[in-house]
Amino acid sequence: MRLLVMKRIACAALLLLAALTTTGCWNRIELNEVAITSATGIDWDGENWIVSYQVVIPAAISSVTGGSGGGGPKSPIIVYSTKGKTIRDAIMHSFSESPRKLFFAHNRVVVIGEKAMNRGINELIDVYFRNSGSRETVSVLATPGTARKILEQFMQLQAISGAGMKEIIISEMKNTSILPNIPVYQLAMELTGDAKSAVVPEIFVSGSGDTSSLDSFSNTSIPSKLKLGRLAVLKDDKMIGWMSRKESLGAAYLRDSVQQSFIVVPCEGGEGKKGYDTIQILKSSTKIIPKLRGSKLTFTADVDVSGTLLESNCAQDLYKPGVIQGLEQGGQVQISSLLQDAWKKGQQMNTDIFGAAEKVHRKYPKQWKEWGKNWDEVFKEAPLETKIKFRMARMGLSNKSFQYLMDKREK
Amino acid sequence: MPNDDKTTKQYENEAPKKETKPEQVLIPDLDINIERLHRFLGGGADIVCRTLQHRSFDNARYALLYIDGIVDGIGLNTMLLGLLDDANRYIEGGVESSLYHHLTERVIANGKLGEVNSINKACYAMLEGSTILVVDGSLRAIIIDTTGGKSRAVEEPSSQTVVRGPKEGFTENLRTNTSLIRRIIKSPDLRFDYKMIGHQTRTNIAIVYLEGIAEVEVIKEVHRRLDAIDIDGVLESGYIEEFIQDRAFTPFPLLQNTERPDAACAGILEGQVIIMVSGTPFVLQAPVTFVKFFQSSEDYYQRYDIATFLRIIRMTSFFISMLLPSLYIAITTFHQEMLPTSLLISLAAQREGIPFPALLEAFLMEITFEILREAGVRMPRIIGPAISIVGALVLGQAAVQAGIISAAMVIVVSFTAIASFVIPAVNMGVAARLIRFLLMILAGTFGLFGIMSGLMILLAHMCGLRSFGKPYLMPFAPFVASNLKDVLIRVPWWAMRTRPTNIASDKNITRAGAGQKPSPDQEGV
Repeated sequence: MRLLVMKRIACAALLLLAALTTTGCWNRIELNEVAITSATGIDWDGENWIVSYQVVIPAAISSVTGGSGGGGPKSPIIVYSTKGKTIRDAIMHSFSESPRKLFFAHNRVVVIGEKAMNRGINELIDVYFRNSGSRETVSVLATPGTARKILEQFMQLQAISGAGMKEIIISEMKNTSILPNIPVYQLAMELTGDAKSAVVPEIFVSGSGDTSSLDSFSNTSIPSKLKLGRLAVLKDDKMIGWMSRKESLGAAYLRDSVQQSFIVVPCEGGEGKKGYDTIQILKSSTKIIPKLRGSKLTFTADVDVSGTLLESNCAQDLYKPGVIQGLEQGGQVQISSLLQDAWKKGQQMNTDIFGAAEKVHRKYPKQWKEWGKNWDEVFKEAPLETKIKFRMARMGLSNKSFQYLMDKREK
Repeated sequence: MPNDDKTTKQYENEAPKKETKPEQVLIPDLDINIERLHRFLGGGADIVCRTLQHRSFDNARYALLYIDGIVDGIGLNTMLLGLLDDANRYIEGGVESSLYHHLTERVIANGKLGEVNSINKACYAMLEGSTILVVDGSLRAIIIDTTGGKSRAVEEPSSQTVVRGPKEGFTENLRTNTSLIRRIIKSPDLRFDYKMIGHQTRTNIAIVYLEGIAEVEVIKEVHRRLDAIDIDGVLESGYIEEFIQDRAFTPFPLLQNTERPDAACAGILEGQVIIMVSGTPFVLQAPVTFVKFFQSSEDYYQRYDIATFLRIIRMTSFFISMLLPSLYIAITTFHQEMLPTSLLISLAAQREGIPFPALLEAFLMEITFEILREAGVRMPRIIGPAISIVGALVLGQAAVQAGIISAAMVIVVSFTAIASFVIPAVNMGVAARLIRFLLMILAGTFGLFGIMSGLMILLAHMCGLRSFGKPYLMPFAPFVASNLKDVLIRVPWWAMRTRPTNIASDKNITRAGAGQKPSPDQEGV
C-alpha cells in the first residue's frame, strides 16, 4: 500500500519534470536584467537593415529614488542602433553592446523609415509572427526620414516617446479617425488580402530642429514635435506613395474605420456673409456594395452617419427643420466629395486599399476568377457612387446660433 | 447508542484507563482505611483528613478525606457543620448499615453522592475534587461531590472577537463549559457523553451533540477514535485533535476549534459533534468542511448582505495570503509581458541595484516577517512597541533605502501578512502560510507553470481529505447545491431553511419554516 503511494508520487513528480521540457526554454530573467524596449525603428541603408531601439531607463523615469543619487535631469530613454543582413541578425548584434537583454514584449510602436518602406517590409512581418517575444498588436508607423530620428525625439507630457506615439495614434483614431491605427497583424492581413494593399500612418518631426535633448524642456515651447501626418499606401509590401490627410479621411470612411470624426460645412450667413458649421460625427458605418451593370463593375458606398453640431457661426435658427435639412445636405455633399477624392486617388495610385476586392470576391466569386488576375485594371475603371444618409442628432445646448441672436438685436 | 450505559456513565465513577496499582478494597477498620488512602496518594500536605465522632454514639466514628484546593470550601464547611450538628439517633441495629444509611439519607446536604468499595476508586474520586466519607465498620465509602476551587471566570474570548454577538468565552473548567452550552441549547435532546483520557492527567472529556440531528455514524466514530487514544496526558484539545483527525499528513486542519460557546452551539445545531477537553477553553468541532473555516460567528449576527461581502473578502484574503508572493515572483521573473508597461517600469526601477533575485528577496522578507510575528507572540507585552519599531522602520524602510529589498516586495509581503490575519480560523491561516513557502519555491523555479501545478496537486490532495468521513471540499466536491446557501454567500435566515445536508443527519434537516420572508402586504398586518 505504502509502496503504491510512493510509486504514485514518484510518477507525478516525473510527469511534472517531463512537462518542464515542453515549455521550450528556460526563461527565468530578473527585472534588472532586461532592457525594456518601448519603440523599435527599422531602416534600410541599401544593403543592411538598421534596427534602432528606444530603451527605457526605469530608474530615471520612476519617482522612486532607488539608490541612485540626485544630479541633473536624466534622460528616461536611450536610443541605439545595430546593423545586420537581416532584422534578427541586427538584433543579435545588440548583445555585443547592451548590458541587458532586449525585451520586446512591451514594445509599443515600430517605426519604419521611408527607404525600408520602399524596399519592402515582408521580413519585418515574418519576424513578428515567428517570435513569441514581440506582440502583433504593435502599431506600425511610417516616417519620411529615418526611423532612428523619430525614436530620438522627446515628447511633451510622456517621458517614453514610444508609448506616447502609440497613445497619439490611438487617441487620433478615436477622436478624428483621419489615420487608422495599424497593428502588425492587421498590416499582414491586408497585405495578404485580395487587393494586396495596405496603409500605414505617417509620423514625422514637425518644426525646426529636434527635441532629442532634455534641455528643450526648460522652455515653455519645444522646438519640434512628433506629429501624425499623411497616410502611406503600400502595395505588395512596398510603399508606393502618400495620401493627403483629406484623402486619408475619405479612405477612412470607405474602409469603415471612422469611430468619431468631424466635418466643416460651409453655410450661408445671410447678407452674403460666409460662415462654417462644425459637425462632429458621432457614428458612422459604411458598406461598399459592388454591382454589375452589364459587364461593368460599379461600386456603391452606403454611408450612414449621425452627428452633432459643435460650432456655428452663421445666423441660423435651428428651430426650423429646413435649416437642419440644409446642414444635413451640406454634410452629405462634404462626405461624398471626401469619398470620391479618396477613391480617385486610390485609382490613380492603382491600389485598392478600401477592401473593395474582398467585397467583389465574395459577391461575384465566379467573375472574380477572371478579375482577380488583373484586379488593378478592373479597379481602375470601376466608378464609385455614394449614397449618404446624414442625420443631425443633436444641436448642442443652444438652438439659435449666437450670430442669429446678434443679428436679431440689430434689427 | 446515546442511551447506552457506557456512554452516559458519569465520568467520576469511571475506572482509569490503565490501572497500574493493585486494587485494594475497603475493610471495616477505619484507621487502616485512612492509612491506606493516605499511602495510596503518597501522603501529601494537601491531603486533609478529618476524623469525626458522632455526638450521640462513641463507637460511631467516620472520617472525611479530601484534597485541599480542588474542593469547594464553602460547600465542604456546610457539610461538616451538618455532620457535627447531627444529634439524631439513628435506628438501632447493625452499626454498619444503619450509620452509613443514616448519613447518606438524612445528614449530608449535598446533591451528588456516590459510593465505592475500593481504595483506588476512592482516591481517584478525591483527585477529581470529591470528598470521601469513610465510615468505621463499613465496607463502603461515600463519595461527596465537592468539586470546586479556584478557576478562571467566564471572560470575553481573546482569540475570536466579534463586534456584535455574545461576549462569553469558554474557560478551563469543563463543568462551566458544559453549563454554557446548556444555557444556550435548552433541548432535552442535548447529549453529553463523558470520557477520561490520559493515564496520568486523567483528563475529562465531554462529547456534546444533539440527538437526532447529529449523525449517528459520526457520534459512533468520535467515540471509537477517542476510545482508541492511549496517552499519559492530555493538556489541551490539540493533543486529541492530532489523534483523531482523518489523515496525519496534511497542512489543512481537519477539525475546527472555537473558544466561543455560541459558535460551538451553532455547530451543534448544524449537526456537528463537539469535543470538550477539561483544562482548555478551546473545544473541537467535527466534522468540518473547508468552507467552515471562513465562516465567522459574526456572519450570522450581522445582516446577510454585509456577511456575504465579508465572506468573499475572507476567501480572497486566503488566496492572497497563499499566492501573492509567488505570483509576484513568477510574473516579475518569468512573465514580464503580463504586466502593464507603466507598472513594469516602476517595478523595474525599484529593482535597480537590488543584489538578490526576486525569489531570494521574497524569502528574506517572508522569513523576516515570520520571525517578527513569532517574536511578537513570545515576547513580554511591555516590549511590544519596540518590536514594531524595529520591524517597520529598521527592517522595512531601512532595507528599502539601503537597496537590499525593493519597495514593491515590502508591499507584497506586508499585504500578504495582513491578508493572512483576515482568515477567522487561525489554523487555516497557518495552512496558507506553509503552502505559501512551497509555492514561492515553485514560482521561482517554474514560474506560473509551477504555481499552477502546485495548486493542482493541492486541489487533488484536498479532494482526498475527509473529516470524520465527510468530504472536505463539500459542497463543491461532491457538489451539493442546497449547501451553497452558506458558503460564498450567506442567505438571510428566513431562506436558510435546511441544515447542511451530509453533515447533519438526513432525517432531520428542516431548520426554519417556509414563507417567513418579510413583506409589507402580509395578511392581517
